[in-house]
Amino acid sequence: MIKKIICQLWNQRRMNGWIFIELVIVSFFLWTVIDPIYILTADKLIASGYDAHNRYVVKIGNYESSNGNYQAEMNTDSICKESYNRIIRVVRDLPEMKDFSIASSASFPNSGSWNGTQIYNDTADIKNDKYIHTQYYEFYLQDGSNMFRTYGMKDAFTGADINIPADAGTRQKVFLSEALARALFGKTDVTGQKVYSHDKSSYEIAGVFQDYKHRNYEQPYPLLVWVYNEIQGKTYMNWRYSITFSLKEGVDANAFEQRFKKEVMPLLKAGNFYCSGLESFEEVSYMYAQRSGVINQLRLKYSLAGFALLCIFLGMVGTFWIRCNARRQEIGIMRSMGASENAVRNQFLAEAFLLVTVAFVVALPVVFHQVHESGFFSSGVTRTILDMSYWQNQPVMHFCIVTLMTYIILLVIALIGTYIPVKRASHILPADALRDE
Amino acid sequence: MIKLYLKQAWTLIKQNKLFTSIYVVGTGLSIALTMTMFIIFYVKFAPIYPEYNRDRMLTIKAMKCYPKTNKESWNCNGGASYYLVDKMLKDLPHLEAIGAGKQDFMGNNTIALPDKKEVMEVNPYYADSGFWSVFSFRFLAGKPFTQADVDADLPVAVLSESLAKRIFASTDVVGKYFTFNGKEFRVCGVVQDVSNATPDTAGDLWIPLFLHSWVSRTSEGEKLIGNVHIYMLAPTPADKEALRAEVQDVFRKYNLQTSEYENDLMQQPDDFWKSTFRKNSCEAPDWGELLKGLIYILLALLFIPAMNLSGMISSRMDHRLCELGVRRAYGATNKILLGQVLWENLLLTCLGGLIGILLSYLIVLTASDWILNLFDDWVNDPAKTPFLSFEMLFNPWIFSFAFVLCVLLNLISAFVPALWSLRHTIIQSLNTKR
Repeated sequence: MIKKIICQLWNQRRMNGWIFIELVIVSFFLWTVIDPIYILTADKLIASGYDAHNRYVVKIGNYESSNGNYQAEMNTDSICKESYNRIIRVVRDLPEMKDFSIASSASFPNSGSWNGTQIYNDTADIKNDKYIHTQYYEFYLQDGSNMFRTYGMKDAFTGADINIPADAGTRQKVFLSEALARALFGKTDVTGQKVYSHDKSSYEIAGVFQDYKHRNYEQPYPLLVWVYNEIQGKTYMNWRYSITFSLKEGVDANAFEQRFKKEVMPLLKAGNFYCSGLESFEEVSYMYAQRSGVINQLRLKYSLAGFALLCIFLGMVGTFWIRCNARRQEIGIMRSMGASENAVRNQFLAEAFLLVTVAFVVALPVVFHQVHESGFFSSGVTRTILDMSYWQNQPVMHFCIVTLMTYIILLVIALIGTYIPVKRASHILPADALRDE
Repeated sequence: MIKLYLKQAWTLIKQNKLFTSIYVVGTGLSIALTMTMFIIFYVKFAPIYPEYNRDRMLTIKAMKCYPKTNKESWNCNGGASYYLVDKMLKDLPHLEAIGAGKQDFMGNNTIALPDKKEVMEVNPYYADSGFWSVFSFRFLAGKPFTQADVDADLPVAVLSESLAKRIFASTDVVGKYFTFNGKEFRVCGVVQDVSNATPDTAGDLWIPLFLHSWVSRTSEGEKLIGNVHIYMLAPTPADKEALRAEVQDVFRKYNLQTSEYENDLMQQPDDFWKSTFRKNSCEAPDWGELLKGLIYILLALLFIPAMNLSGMISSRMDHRLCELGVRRAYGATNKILLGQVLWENLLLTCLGGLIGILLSYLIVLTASDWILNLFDDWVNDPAKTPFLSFEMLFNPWIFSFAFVLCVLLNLISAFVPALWSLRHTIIQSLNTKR
């Protein structure tokens, strides 16, 4: 059967040539388009390490000197601190609030800012410059603020809430993500050990939390959390410190958001600081994905993939429609010799399958060369350490998955494109087909 | 003769409806996506209100500086110091006009009538007086603020037509007062609305530059990093290179006389079109990679459907070999027959082109809130949705490009199959029906 089909394809090579070339081009093109989609989607599917549901960031602004509401006498560090603390306490006392957190402005998921530093597991490493690059968060314990509970970050071992020692702020203890602990010590059971900064200051590890993604479309990056007791008064505190909180179970988020806008926002005004709005973690995440071009990437790649597949669909419909017309006599003979409609259909589908498969195999070395020269698609923070447990970080597995995805999608579309004209042609009665000829 | 070819093509279209449909849809799809891409870049690069002088404009939108002793300890920002405009560049020989502007990205700007409590959010744009000479705003009433107003930090503003109508229900509002961020401002002019599709000039109102607390008249010591975007106009497009060289020379000399810091223009000043790709404030874009990516997409949009169409034309040519044989027997040359095939297919391609251009308008209009940013790595404010004006969508360039695309697609897809069919001898061609 296969031999017969190969013979058929070869005999009609001129007619098949164009669709074959198109299939080769599309195989290559589709591969390059599916690769970014695969990476972005696979990275997005990795557990984020926090819970975005019913969590909010309070947007705080400050009146600039050019603003009519600006009060020059309020613009001292101490008054600013008092004003900011007043706003914090109003948020803390909201009846719907479950947990709240005061952190630096780069220290909440999908924040536009990103802080990084170099960290060492031994003072000898400082001399040898053997550091681990890590992202860091800073949070402040004042007024009962608890970043871990607010974000829903969990202990790496127990999966429960993270316990913050009472002296964490005073003794500047730190918390590490699993990825950072592994990178520094090769294991995650490191509570009580010390890490060092470049100036040889040492910090005791108070706990290890589950891997955490600062940005939704990226993989978890090593993360270190510094703990401090209280914020410092500055005139630009609204840029320096973020206020986030989570809602209690059972609170209607929509009703709360409306109440916040109407009743709470006017209360969040002290000195030159004022509340300019409330943003849920989901909104912050989507906004960042839009700003960073990830949504654009996905839109563009999906459009291009759709375009290429539609072209293949039309190409297969056109080619097999012409081919079926040209082979009516053959179909008539097959049908008169007892071949069922299914048998006729299957033969054409097998031809399409073979055409797609051969074209795809021809395109693969070119794809391989492209990947070898330019690498896979990459986005976000350049990472020095890759977590090899993710398939997208294993080159062979990555290549195989994208190849398989491309092949299956291409094959399915091509077979649908083939099926439509073939189904129509296989309905023909043997007598009609033979009489037409 | 061409009329006859087109008549014949029309008959063939009516006879082969499925062929026609697939051909037209394939062509339409290719042209729709290519045209969408063209419209996106047309809006970014071409002369559009109020940025009619883009072809003779140079920009500085980012600045980097570092200690002369340590290049790695750099400092950069998405803007330059106004000191450049005020003291360093304004007297260059090939400079017709220079202006500076700053988009507000902090948000939370409100506007109201003095005696009303109700406020509305607006997007202000901070500009100096040169800004009005560089860009061609259409004033419906009043005039722009002057450099004296800018220097004196006078609370005056130019309003957009729609904002004037929203707060005063009229555009004839010069001299009227309103409050902006709690301060009283006087209207000095009203201009035709500017779309967010031209982000270098877009705003709801334009106010003097130094009213923005982040903009300073002076430089930060020897550092020239700052917060304004600088727009320079050369007298003609041909003078741009001379102006660019002059700007770079000013920088070279400035860097020679500084003792501590070196200021890096990062290959600026940019042509306007190039500046639309400058999203990273700390390094120049990789133009080669950018261009490669766009050409790759463009080629895919053209060649993938062209293969489709070639396959279909090739099959149709096989059916018409006999007809070609008869025509050649009566003296038609290969050139004439090739012309016939290309003209016939051009009709089909143009039909597809027409559908394609309509489809591209549909895509651009339905996705207008994000489509213009589709190729951008970074979108400053996704919440700002642009409106698309008549001149952005309906102009000779867009229609000419669509037609050129049709001809190109027609040539790519029909030329080789037609030439292939004409290789047969007259006898072979006539015998195909036997």
